[in-house]
Amino acid sequence: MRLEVENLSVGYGDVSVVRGVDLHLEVGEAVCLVGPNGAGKTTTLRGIMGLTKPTSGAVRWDGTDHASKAAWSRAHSGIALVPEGRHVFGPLTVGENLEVAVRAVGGKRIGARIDAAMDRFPRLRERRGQLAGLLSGGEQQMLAIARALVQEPRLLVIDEMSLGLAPVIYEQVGEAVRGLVSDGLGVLMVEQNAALAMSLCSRGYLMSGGEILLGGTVEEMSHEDAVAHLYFGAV
Amino acid sequence: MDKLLQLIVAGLVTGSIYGLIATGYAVIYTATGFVNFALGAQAMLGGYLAYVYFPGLPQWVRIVVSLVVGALVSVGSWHLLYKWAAKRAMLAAVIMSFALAIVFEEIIRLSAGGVNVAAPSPFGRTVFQLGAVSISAHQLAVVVVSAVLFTGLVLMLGSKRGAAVRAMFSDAETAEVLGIRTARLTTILFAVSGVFAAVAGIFAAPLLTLSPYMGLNLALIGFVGAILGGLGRIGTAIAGSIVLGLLEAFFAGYVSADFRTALVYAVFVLVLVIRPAGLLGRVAKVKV
Repeated sequence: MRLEVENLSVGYGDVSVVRGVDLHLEVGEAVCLVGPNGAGKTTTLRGIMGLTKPTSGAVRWDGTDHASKAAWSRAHSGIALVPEGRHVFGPLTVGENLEVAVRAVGGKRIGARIDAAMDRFPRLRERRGQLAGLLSGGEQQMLAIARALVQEPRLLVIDEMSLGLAPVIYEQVGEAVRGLVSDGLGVLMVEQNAALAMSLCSRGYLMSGGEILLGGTVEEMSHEDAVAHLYFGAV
Repeated sequence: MDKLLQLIVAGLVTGSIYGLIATGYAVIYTATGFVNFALGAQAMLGGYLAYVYFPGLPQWVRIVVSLVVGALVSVGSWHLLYKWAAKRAMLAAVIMSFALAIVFEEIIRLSAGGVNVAAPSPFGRTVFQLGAVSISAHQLAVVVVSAVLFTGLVLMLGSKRGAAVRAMFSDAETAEVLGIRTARLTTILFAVSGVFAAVAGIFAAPLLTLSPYMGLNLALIGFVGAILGGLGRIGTAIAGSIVLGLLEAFFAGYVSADFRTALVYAVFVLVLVIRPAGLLGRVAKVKV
């Protein structure tokens, strides 16, 4: 399976924020979209996920163009999102957050899927009956990832995982992401923290000013000046 | 003591009717951030369909028609009108609901006349005597049916399947991206609010007599009840309405029947000033 974003433009009202984005990803690889704050990464992602309707272009996944479809259709066809800022359902318990995600895509074996997610993040098992809104930031991040995983997606899209997370926690979460890729999942990471993203991914795209500046293997990218600037945080 | 019990009965009856409207406000508001002031007019329309139009049909058929039309009007007005205005400015949609209420009012006035119409209760004229307290079959039906509807809704929302609705209430965009069909759930909630409003109209008509103008009052008092409990939560909006019904009955019984309406709005102003989140609500969650 393959995600192919072709010539995607996304905007709000008459202003187009992102123009002509092309990127692709095969299941079984981790690809990152990096770039400075305001580069248009989140808007690109919103366009891919259908949260903002693209003004033009295609979002082909497994042969179907989702660009003009409602956002929910992507989850049903195997794309799961871990949103920026986690966005767990605060008034629901940890268990309900997971269960609602399985049911949303019509998933079977609800109990087994939740168990598997809790094996991956044992902390969530301890917190199962607690309201998600009362979890710590790191626990909420785990829940957001677990909530995507119980949908048994083929493609996991992770938006700004590192924002607001203690380094020790994103080490842990990063480890989980590596495991998922070796299990055959496709992972698309949108990250401001280029160093973190490139340590987890095999290929990447650099975005700036609403356009993709360059793309390639992480190895190739790390030799580019533009990336080096971002990598080392130089302005 | 007898008077107190009698007033509690009266308060529960009116409070339940307010609660049916308030539930509509609360489910729509939590799902979309929209406040539908046409719910009162929808209740009035429900009353006319059940008691005035189609006099040849059996009563139960007219009630079914009233409920079905209630759901359709509610869903239709969202998809054809409010939704589009709400995308640009929620306030425009809210004002539009007032306008639609007036349109309903005028349509009924022109087709059925502007005079009050007596509506005989479908539950007959039986009055039960429980000690010194008397309760009519109609009053009993109002309290029982409303209690069943409220309990049913709260249980449904609390269930495993209802978790999808609660997820949408808490974060609609994330719910959608996780694969929950939020547009469809919203449609269902509009249908529920429409049915509840029609039930309120069917219950209110025999108590108040039907008139095209009863809608505005129901809309506003139901809104006060919802605000009193907290608009963002269904259970508290219902509880707030019942408290309001009781307050109104006690005030009418012990202080002044003439000023009962003034009391309702005084409560409204006080709540907004002192506890905008509602007396029973926790945090004011204002969605734009």
